[in-house]
Amino acid sequence: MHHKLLVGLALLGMVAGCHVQGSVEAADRAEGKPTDQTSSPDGVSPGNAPTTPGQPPGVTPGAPGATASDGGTPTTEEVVIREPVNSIASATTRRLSHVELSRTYTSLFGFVPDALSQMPPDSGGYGFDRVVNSQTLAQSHVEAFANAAREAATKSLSDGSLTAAVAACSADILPPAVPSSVEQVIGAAMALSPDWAVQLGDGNSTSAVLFYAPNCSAGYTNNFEAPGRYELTLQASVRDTPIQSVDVILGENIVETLSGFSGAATLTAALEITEPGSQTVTFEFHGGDNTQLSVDSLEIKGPIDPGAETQGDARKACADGVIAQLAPRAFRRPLESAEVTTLNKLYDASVERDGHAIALRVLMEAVLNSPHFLYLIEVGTPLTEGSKTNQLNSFEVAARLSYALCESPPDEALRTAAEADSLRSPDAVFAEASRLLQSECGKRGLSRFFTQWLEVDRLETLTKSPDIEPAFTPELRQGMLDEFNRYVDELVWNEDATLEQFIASDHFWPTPATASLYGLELSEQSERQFPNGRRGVLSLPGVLAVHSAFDESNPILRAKFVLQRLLCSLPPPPTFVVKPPPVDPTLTTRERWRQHSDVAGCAECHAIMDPVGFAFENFDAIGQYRTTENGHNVDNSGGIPSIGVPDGELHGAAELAIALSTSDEAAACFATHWFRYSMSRLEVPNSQDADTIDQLSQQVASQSMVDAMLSIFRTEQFLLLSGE
Amino acid sequence: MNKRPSLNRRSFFKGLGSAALAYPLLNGLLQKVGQAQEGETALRLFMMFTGNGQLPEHWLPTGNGPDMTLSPVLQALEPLKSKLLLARGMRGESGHAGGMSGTLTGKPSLNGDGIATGGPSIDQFFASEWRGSTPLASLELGVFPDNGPEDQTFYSDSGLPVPVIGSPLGAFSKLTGLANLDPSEAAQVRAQKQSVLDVVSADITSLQSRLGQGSRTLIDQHLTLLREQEQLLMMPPPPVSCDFSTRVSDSPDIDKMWAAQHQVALTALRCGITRVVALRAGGWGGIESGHYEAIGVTDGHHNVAHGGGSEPASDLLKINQFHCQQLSTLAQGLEAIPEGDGTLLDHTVVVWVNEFGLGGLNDHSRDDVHVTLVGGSKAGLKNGTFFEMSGNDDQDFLVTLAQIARPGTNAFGTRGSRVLTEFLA
Repeated sequence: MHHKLLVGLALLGMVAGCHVQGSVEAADRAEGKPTDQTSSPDGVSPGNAPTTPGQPPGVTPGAPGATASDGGTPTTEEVVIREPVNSIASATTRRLSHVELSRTYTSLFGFVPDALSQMPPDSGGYGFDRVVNSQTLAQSHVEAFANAAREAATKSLSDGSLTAAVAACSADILPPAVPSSVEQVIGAAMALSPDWAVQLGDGNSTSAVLFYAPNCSAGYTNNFEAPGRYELTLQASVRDTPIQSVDVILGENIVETLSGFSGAATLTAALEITEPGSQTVTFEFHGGDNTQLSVDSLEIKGPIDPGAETQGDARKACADGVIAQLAPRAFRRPLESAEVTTLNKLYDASVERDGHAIALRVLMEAVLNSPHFLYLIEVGTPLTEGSKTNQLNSFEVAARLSYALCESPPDEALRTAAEADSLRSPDAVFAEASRLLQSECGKRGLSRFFTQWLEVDRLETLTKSPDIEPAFTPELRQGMLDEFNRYVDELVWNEDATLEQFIASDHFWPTPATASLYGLELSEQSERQFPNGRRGVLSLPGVLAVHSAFDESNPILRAKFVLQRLLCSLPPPPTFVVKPPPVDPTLTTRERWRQHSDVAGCAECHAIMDPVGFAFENFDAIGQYRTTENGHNVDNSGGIPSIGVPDGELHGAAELAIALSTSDEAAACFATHWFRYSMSRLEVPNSQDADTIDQLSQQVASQSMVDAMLSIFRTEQFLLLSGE
Repeated sequence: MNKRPSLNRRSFFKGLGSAALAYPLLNGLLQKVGQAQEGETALRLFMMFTGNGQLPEHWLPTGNGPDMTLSPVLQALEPLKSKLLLARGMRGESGHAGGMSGTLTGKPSLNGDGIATGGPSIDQFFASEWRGSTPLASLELGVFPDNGPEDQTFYSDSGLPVPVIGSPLGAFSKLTGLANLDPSEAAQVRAQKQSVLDVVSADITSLQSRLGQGSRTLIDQHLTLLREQEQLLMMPPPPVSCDFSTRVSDSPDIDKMWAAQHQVALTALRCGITRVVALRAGGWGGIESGHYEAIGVTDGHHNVAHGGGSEPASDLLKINQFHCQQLSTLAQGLEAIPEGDGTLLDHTVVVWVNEFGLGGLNDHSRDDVHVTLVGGSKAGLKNGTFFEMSGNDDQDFLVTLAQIARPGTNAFGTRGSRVLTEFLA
C-alpha cells in the first residue's frame, strides 16, 4: 500500500478543515438531513454552552509523538499510567441514546417500555446518534424517562421479569401490579338480556328488572388493569319463582356456577384475570321462567392482594434484592452505602404510606429515573495526587467500552472483570474490546457505525421519483441494504480489509434484487467483480441512492457527502444570502450545476466540491449506470481538488475511489469518525485528542480496519478523563 | 373451566349497555370537574412552523375586510375569513443558517448550528408565562420531523432546543396520562412521584459536586427540569377531564399523520392539558421527498422550493395549500367548541409562520415576511384584516405576540422593540 508522507501536516489540514464547517451551515443543504459540524476552533462557541466540550484552550502541546501509549508494554499487574503530555479533554456527561436506553431496558427486564416512544428522537448530529455535543435535554425527555420507568416497574411485577432479575422476588410473594380498587356499577348500567324482558324503573332507579324471562342474564364489560384475582359481588332479588342456578361467565367461559336463590340475594364470585384489558363478566340466571328478576348493583374489587398481610417480610426481602441486585445492574456498578440507605428509606417510607405493592414500584422507579441509569457517569480518581487527570475505575471503563461497541450495558464477563478491578490497563481493556467486537453485539455495533457513517441508515425510509426505471421498490431498497451489509461483513470480517480496500475493492456481493442494475441475473447473493465504472463502497447503489436527489443524481449532494464523511474537508458554507439563478430544465445535470457554480461568491467553494460530484455522473438517482443523460453524453471527468487531484485529472467513480483510498486525508477522516463514534463526543483541538486521532490515522493507513478501530481501546486515553 | 356453548354476543348486549351508563362513576367525576372549570376562559397558543417560503402570488390576498379575496393557498381558510389576521412586508435578517433558529427566537444560534440560541422561542415564552396553569406547560409536535441541531425551531428559556415528538401515538399517550385522574388517586400519585423526585434530585445534586463544571451541562439541565416538575407537584394545576374517545394512530401517509398530530393538538388545547402547542413540519428544508405523494407531489419540499422538478411552482402551491388545509382543519375544530362567550378559537392565537418570506422560487430571504393568524380575538387581536407592514421589523411581530402572554412586554429578540398596535383590536 502506498501512502503519502507528512501525516502530521495532513492531519492539521484535516482538523482545520473540519472545524471551519461548524461555523455556518451549507446554504443549500438538500433534503433535510443532519450535517456534520464540529466545534469551533477554540472549543468554546458562543451560545453553544450546553454542549461545548469543557477543555479550556491554550494548553501547550508537548513533543509530537510522545504519546501515552508509547510508554512501554504494560503488564496486567503493575500498570503505571502517567500524566499525559497533552491535556485530556473532558466532555459533557452524556445520556444514553434512544437505542442504548432501549437495549439497557431489554437487558434488565427483557422488554422495552412503550413509553420510550415519547422520547424525542436523537439528533444524529455529527454523524452519529450519541455524540454528546449534539445531545439536548428537554422536559419531554425527562417525562418520557419517568413514564418508561413507571411502565417498566409496573409491568415487571406481573410479567415475571422482576422475578427473573431478582430471585427473592418470587412470583408468589409479589403484589399485583396495580393497587386494588373497587368499581361500582348500578344494575341499570349493565347489559341485560333478553331485550324484550327489560324494564327500567323510574328515572331515579338504579336497578333494572327482567320480567318473566327464561335464562336471562346481566353483563358488564370492565377494564381489568392488571392480572390477578378480582372479587365480584352482585346484588339481586327475585319475585315469584326462585332462580335455580347462576353461571358466572368471563368472556365465553363459565368460571363458576352459583347455587340458586329466592328473594334478595348477594351473589359473590371470584375471577382470575391473566391478561390486563377489557373483558366482559356475565351472570346468567337459570330457571324461574315466570320470575321477575331485579338487578341492583355489581361491585368489582381487585386485583386482590392475597399477600398484603402475610408477605410483608418476603416483600421487604424482595426490595432488598432490588437494591442489591437490580440497582447495581442498572447503575452498572455496586451501590455506595449511602445510596443503599437512601433507597431503603424510600422503600420504608413508601410502605408506610402506600403499602408494599406501591413501594416496590416506587423503589424501581427511583432506580430507573436515576442519572446513574440514564447517563454514563464518569468520575474516576486523580492519576496522582493533585493531578488534573482522572483515571476511570474499572466499572466506568466497562460501561464506556460496552456502550461504545455494543450500545448496551456490560455483559457478564465485563461485569466480572470490573468487579475484579482488572480494567485498569490498556492491554486488559484491549482484550475485552477484542472479545466484544467479535461477539454478536460488537458486530451489530460496528454495522451501526458503518451505516451511520455512510448514512446508509437512511435507505430504510428513502423514496424516489416514480418516473425512475426500474422502480425503486421496497425489494430493491432491501436488496441495496443487504448488498451493503454483506459488503461490510465480508470486507471487515472475512477479508480483514484495510480502509484502502474498503474504499476501492474490486469485488462485491450483488443480490437477486439488485442484479438487474448490473445487467445480471442472480438466484442468490454471491461474489462478483464490480462491473465497468464501479469500484468500492461508494459505487454501491445503496450508497449512491442515499446521496442523490429524489429524481436526479445531484452531484453537489455527493460531493458534500464525500468531502464531509470521507475527507472531513467540507468548505465553509456561505455567510451571505444565497440566491441561485433560476434553473434551466433543458440542460444536463452537470450543465445546470455548472451554472449555479459560476455565480460570483459561490464559485470558489464549488470549484472544490463540484469535481468530486461530477465524477459520479455515470450514476442516476438510484445508482444505476448510465452513459447518456437527456440525449447528451455524460461527462464523468472530475477531481478531488482538496487532496491535490485537480478537476479533469480523473474520470468516473472507480478512479475517484482509487484516489480517495490511498489518501492520508481519508485515513485521518475515518479515524476522526471512529473517534467520535467510539468516544461519543467531538474531538477537542489542542488536547490529547489530536494525538489520539493522529495515531489512529496511522493505524488506519497501515492496518486492517478492525485492528485500527480496536487500537483506540488500547490507548491510555480510553482510561482517562479530565479531572478539571 | 368449562367451554360455554356458543351464544350470540351481539343480541346479548343490545340491551341497555349504552356508553353513558356504562361508566356511571367516571361520568359523575367528569361532570364535577367540568363544572369546576366552567367560566374559565384561558388563552391558548398554537404555533405551526413550515419552511421554504412562499410565492407572493400564491399567498397574497386581494382586497381587505369582508371584501377580501383569499389567495390560492389561503383558500382553505375561507370559512374563517372573518377571524383571520394576515400581514406581509415585515423585514428580517436573512440567511439559511439563522432561519430555523431565529424565526421564533429573534436570537438565532450564533454559530449557526442551531444548538443554542440567545433566548426562548415565542411559544416557549408563552409556556413559561403560563406554566403551572395546566398539567403540561407545552406540547411540541412534528410531522416527519428531523431532530438534528440545524432542524430546530423551538427553544427553551436557556436557549436549548425543545425537540418535537414525531409519533402522534406517543404524544397522545402522554396526554392520556394527564387527565381524568381521581383526585385522591392523583394526590397519591403526586406523593409517589415526589418521593422518587426527592431521591433523584438528591442524586444529581451529589453528582454535581463530583463532576467537573464543564461536564455537567446536561445533568444541570436535568435538575432544572426536575425542579420544574416539583413545582408542579407542589402546586398542582386544576384537575383536567378529557374525552379521549377520538383516538389517533401513526401513519406513513402525510395527510393522516398531520391530521393525527392536529387531533392531538386539538385534544390537548380543548381539554386544557396544555395551553401551548407548537408543530413543526419536517426539519431544515421541510419534509423530504416521497411524503407529499398523497397530494400529488412526488418531490421533497426543499427541492420544489428551489425550482426542482418539472412544475415547481405548481408543486409548491400544492404543498402550501395542503399545509393551510391542515391549519384550517385545526382552526375549525377550535371554532366548533364554544367557550366563554365565544369559541375556543377566539381564545386561541393560531399562528402560521415560515422560515422565509414571500419571494420567487429559490428566494432564501426574509425581506418580505408574511404571517397567517387565525382567531385570538379574546387575546386582543384584530380579526378579519390584511395588513401591509412594509418598513416594520419582523421581530416586532414577536413582541406583539409576547405581550399577549406577558402584558407590557415591549421587546423580544435582538431587534423587536414595539408592539404592532395595528394588529390589536
